[in-house]
Amino acid sequence: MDPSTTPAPHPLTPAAEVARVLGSRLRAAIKGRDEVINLILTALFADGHVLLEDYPGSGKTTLAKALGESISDASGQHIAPFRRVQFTPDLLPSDITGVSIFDPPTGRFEFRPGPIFAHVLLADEINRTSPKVQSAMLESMAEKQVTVDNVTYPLDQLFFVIATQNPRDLAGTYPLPVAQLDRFLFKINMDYIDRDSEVEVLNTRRQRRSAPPDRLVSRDEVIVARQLIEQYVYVHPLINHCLVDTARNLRAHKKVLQGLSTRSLVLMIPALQSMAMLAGRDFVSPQDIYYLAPYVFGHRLVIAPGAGDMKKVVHECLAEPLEQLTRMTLAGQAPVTAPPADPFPAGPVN
Amino acid sequence: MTLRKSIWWKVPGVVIWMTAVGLLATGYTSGAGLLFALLGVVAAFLLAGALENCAIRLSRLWLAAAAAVGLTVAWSLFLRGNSSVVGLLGSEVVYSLTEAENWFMGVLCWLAPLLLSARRYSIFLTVEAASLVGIFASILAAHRDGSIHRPFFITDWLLERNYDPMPFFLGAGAILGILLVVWMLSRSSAKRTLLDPALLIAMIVALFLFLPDGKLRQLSAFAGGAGGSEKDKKEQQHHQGGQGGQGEQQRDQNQNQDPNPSSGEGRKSFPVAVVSLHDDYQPPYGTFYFRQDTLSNYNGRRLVRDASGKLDTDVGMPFPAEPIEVPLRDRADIAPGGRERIAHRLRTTVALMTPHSKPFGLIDVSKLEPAPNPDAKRFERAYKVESIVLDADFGTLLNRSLGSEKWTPEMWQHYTEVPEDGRYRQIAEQAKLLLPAHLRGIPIAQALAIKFWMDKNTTYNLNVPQVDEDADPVASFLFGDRNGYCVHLAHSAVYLFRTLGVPSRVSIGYAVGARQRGDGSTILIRNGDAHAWPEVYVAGLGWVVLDITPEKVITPPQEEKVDQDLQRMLGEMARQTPGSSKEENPPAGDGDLRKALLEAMQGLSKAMVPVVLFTLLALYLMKLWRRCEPRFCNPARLPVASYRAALDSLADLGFYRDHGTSREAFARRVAERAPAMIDLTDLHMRAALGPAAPRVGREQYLALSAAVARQAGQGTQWWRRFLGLLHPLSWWKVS
Repeated sequence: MDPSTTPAPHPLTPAAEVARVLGSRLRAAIKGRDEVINLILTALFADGHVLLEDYPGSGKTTLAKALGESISDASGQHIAPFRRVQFTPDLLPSDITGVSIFDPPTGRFEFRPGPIFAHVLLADEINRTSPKVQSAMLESMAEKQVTVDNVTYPLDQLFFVIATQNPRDLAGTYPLPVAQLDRFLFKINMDYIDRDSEVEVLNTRRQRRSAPPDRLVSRDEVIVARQLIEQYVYVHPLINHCLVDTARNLRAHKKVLQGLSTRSLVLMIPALQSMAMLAGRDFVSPQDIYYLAPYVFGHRLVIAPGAGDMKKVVHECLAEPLEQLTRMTLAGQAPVTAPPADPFPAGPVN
Repeated sequence: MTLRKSIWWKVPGVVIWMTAVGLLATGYTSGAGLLFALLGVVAAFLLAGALENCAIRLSRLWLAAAAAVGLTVAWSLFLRGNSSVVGLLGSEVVYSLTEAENWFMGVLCWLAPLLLSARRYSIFLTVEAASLVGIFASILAAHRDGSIHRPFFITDWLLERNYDPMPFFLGAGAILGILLVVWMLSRSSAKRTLLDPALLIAMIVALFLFLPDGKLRQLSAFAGGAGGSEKDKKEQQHHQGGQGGQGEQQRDQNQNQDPNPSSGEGRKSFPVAVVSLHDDYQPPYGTFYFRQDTLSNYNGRRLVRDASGKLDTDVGMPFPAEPIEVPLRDRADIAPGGRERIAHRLRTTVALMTPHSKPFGLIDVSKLEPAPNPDAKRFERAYKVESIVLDADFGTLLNRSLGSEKWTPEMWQHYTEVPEDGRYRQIAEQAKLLLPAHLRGIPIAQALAIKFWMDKNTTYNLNVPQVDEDADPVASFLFGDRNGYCVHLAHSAVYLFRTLGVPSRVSIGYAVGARQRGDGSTILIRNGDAHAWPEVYVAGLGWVVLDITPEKVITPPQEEKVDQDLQRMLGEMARQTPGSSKEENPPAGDGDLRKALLEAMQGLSKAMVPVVLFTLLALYLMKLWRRCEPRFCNPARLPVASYRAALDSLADLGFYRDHGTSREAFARRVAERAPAMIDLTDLHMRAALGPAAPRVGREQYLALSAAVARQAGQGTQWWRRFLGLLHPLSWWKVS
């Protein structure tokens, strides 16, 4: 690099800064969950939602709350940064979407927004509630809007759901069908944190409660970061080839009863871009695919009973396309399509 | 393997190896050796299974195995050479014991490290397969050039039908080789490269080219036997005349006919000749002696052949082109129908299977006649012999005088000349004391006394240390520990005889025990039957054998039994007249085909040398180019070329990206050794999958690539780096 010219700032720098702030705030609040934090940030930047499969008391609420509270709202709208809904069998759709209430002075019905009008929504034990509520919830997730009394109210653009379900204790639940699981970008199975982190959780109990880190991230910054990532993280055409080949392999796999939808591949792209940005890259690398594939594809597949580990099946089908992609880089062949004109100077994202 | 390995998976391997080792061992060792060789296979598999999960360095394992083999061989040599141990346990027990331990340890120390290595590196699978091929091939190669050897049953079956066994064996070997290649290829398909089958084929070709001369067998005899070569040398020295052309001539003869009188132990025995008796005959001394040459002239240092041509006229004839009468000076007492028959005429036919420079015949030869070669493929030549054979026991000859009245004083002098050493007389006088007083004056009784004395006071032992060039081996034998074999015994006896004035000489040829003949009329002479023995001249009878048979034996002469079927079959073949059988005419091109094949193979292998060299050169050039490409290539290719150069330098040291591992993960793996790899990988990936090539100059690529090579090399031993550099194909698997 030429030292005489100071390199112009990378266009992804603002996004990286947002990610850094959010990451540091979340990591300060939750110990030993760096991987989950990374995935949640990925989903946030990819405009997706997350389903956590977890046991009670593992820090989901803390995580969601810390995320919500890290995002300040400068737009002036009264949107709560964070809401938590405990889903129960007797919950009604209006309990989360809000209801229209008759206002005697004006003589009109006035819409009172429900908890869904928030930046970050924690939907606790989503499989405990009735399909009616689930469907209302899922519509809002997909369309970012709610319809009450035939009036459609848009949700905030940032709207981000962290849903949880308990993998055990399944009595009296309404398991989500695959079509509904498809609304979630990731399904993350969490396990107990390691010993050192758990000790640290106990040690830092007081500080974490009292002293939140200083800087907040504004809602707009997150929205801008999303746009920057979509625009500036380069997805090589070979990556798409690899994704499609993987999906075809999965569909052909004899242990897979239902394969991947095309939508899941489409959703995969922003996730890969976000992941690459978080890793400090401005292009998607094969290892992003390797890392994200189980989280994105896992809950969208129906695997034959007794087929064993889903992650293994996914990696099995991924191995060949990925190896092909990896070897391609050494073949030194020209990219399939010409890359866009160099929009920014080189150098890794900080 | 996904299946859990149970011990039963190893059974096929054990069976294959036991078959191979068992077949090999039957050709070389006794029953105990065979049994323990098989046990060694089992032990090797058990040991390999036990050590499978241990982190042992293979180099140390091999060193330990080599050390163990060395110790075992040294120990068994010590046991065999130690007379007190041999005396305590008996030579048979010691022999079996040492054979057993040698074979057990040999098999164990070869097979166990091989199996363990094969688990880790696929190349050793090839070595394992190749050693199996080698074992089978060496067994089959014993049949090369039509020589008849184990396993008898295969050759017999073919020879009875008058087929040349060669094409069958070659075919069987080829099929076996192909099967092994297929088996090996199917064994671990994942990591197999083209190199391994190529190596295997090269090994098989090498076996094919080098085995025909029986080199492997000679090698094993040389390494494992009782010091065969040393003995040969000593014998030559012993037989050979001191000076001039005579010595030269004799050496030639020795090489030609392999008269190695004691080679029975170390070397594998093979048939030398077949003698058919035309009439039944049992030699009175229990042994058929076939005289080929004789040493009677004491030249001041040792006994040599008489060069004058006037004496010892009963040997040294050429092969008969027409009947040759052998002048026998004394054989007056041949009484065909007499009551006390002392000797009679016996006709025999000798068919030689190996080249000899001179004919030999049952003693005493009176006439040689030519005979047609019954089977040119099998026999060198054949001739008929008429012998005057002795019927009388030596004891009945006591009343006879020694020497001949017709002898001139010079002849007497010739046959009684001895070294001027008083110790011979001392021993001779001592021996005479064995006789009752009234017999002490009888010359034949004196000779017998010396025989008895030597029988009692010497030890038969093949493992005699070599004496100095200058020292007289006979003196060092007789006045030393008296451990020696037939050559020592015969010379000592002759010197002692002559000290007492008994005309005597040493004869060389073959001696076959009468029992070996069995009930047939064929005597099979093998190389191990070569012998040297003393003879004394009895008036009216001529030269009579007076052989020494020591009571104490440390290394027994070959006791392998003659296969009676083989003996009979060879006898029948020798008796056939050429053209008598219809199947006799061999297909003309048969032998030529093999020769042509061999020549073609040799020509091919010669042609292969430049091909191999050229390929090597091309590979090295390729390697060099890949390493240097970043310096010269197009800037657009820099990220690929420099990254590949770094990968190559890592591959030299054995770091390869595994199938399915991402480049970043590989970089993290090697980062411990070569941290620069992370940056280089990042640049490479950015260039390959990123929006635009990174704007980095050539210097930085070169610097990173060189840094990777340097950093990776720093933590490596020099010899590992050197080997990596030498490896022409290290870049092959780079991806």
